[in-house]
Amino acid sequence: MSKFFVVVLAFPLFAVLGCSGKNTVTSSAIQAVPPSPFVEAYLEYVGPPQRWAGPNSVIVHIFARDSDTADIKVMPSFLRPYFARASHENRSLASPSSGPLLGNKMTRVMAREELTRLASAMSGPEQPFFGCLSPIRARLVRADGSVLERHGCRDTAGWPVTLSQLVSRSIAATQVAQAQ
Amino acid sequence: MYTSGIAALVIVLGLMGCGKARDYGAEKIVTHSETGFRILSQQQPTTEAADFKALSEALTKKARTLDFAGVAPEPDRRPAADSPAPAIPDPEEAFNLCGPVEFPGNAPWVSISEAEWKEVQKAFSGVKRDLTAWLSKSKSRLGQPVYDSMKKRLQSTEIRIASRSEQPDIAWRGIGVWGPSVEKIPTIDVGAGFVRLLRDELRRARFELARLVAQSWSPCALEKQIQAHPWGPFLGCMQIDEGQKCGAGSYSEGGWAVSSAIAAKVAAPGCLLPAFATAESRHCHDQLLLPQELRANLDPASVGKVKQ
Repeated sequence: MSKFFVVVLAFPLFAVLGCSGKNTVTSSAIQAVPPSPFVEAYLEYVGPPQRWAGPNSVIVHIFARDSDTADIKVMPSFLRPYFARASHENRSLASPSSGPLLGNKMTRVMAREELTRLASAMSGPEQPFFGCLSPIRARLVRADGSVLERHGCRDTAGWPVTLSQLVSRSIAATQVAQAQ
Repeated sequence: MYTSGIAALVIVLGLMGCGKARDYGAEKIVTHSETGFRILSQQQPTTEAADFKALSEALTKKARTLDFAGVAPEPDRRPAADSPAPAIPDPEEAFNLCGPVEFPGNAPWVSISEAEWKEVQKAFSGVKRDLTAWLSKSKSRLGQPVYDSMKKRLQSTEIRIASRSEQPDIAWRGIGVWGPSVEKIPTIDVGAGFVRLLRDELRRARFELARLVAQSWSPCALEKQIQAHPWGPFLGCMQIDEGQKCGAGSYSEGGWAVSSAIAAKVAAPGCLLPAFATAESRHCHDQLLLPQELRANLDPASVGKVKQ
């Protein structure tokens, strides 16, 4: 019976210690450790309702969690046979300032840096827009599962530009992957 | 028995306390994450790449519902299809429905010959001329303030190949995008694939150009400039509620509706826009721009402002 009481009394003590300890670790970790990296993104250009036969929606998915190379998918695919041939022809005409990521696969490290850059741009001030015709949205996922999401409108300034640059680089990277 | 009951109670209390502490920890993580964003639930199930298609379709569907809520009929909210190749219906078949048309843009980094760009500019000028003619014909129905504003916006609209520094994604595409430039001039940025659309599908390309230019006349663009627009009856007829759609941070289907309707009159695409597939909606299209007096009866708010 006395052993039973020891167990009964010890349990809440351990529970309190264990749980409060966990909380302390979490709080201090938040303050000391840099935030979890962004490892996944859904980037979208939303087209108008189909009844207007306007541009299709385009979605880019970047997955940079485990493998050395980021897994990038673009919907709808821009890499049709016609495109692959034409891009090969045009490659020789490309300007020397094509950018460091064009013509290269996007590594996991590069992809995460790009996502961090986009997240940083997304924290900038909102560019005012009224009755937007070309909505955009970005959804970034951190390794710890937390999500950062923002909606906006195509623009020539602010985070829409950073989004456009990342989408462009992602398409370039899928082109290279397809060619290989 | 009595001691067992106490023991059980203490264990339950201990477990509850532990759970609360964990909740608190999770809450802290959310609180200490980036500020200024909409942070969703802390531990979201991760998405496998294989599930991408289904998820992206769901996202697209959600986006359409969010951005154009209650506007499009149910079939219009389907996610965009991955159309294998551009297909233009036979112009002779009046009731072929239009679909999205886009040739890929072949960036890095866009090579368009001078002759090709001249063709684009020629088509652009032609479309502006046709829109100017339509505008002049409609002057009496628009009223002087609206006419002046629309004419000014039309004349100032420019076209260019999408800037690599500002919107490089367009260079991969075959679409055009309307928007104010950094200098606040109405500008159409076209992707390299648009050149091929113009070469291979002239009629559709002219329609797309006319639609892009006419986006300068969208309800929100005019409302922002002159606090009124003449499209109320048309939008009402098409059951597009633009009541709150021009506020800061808003999305609008009305701009697509108006610009598409005008473009279909000025530069018919050779197919029928799905939006005008029914007799009722074709009637709305026929009545795109009612005389001011009629509009005053149907949409006193917007026309009243125009008269002032």
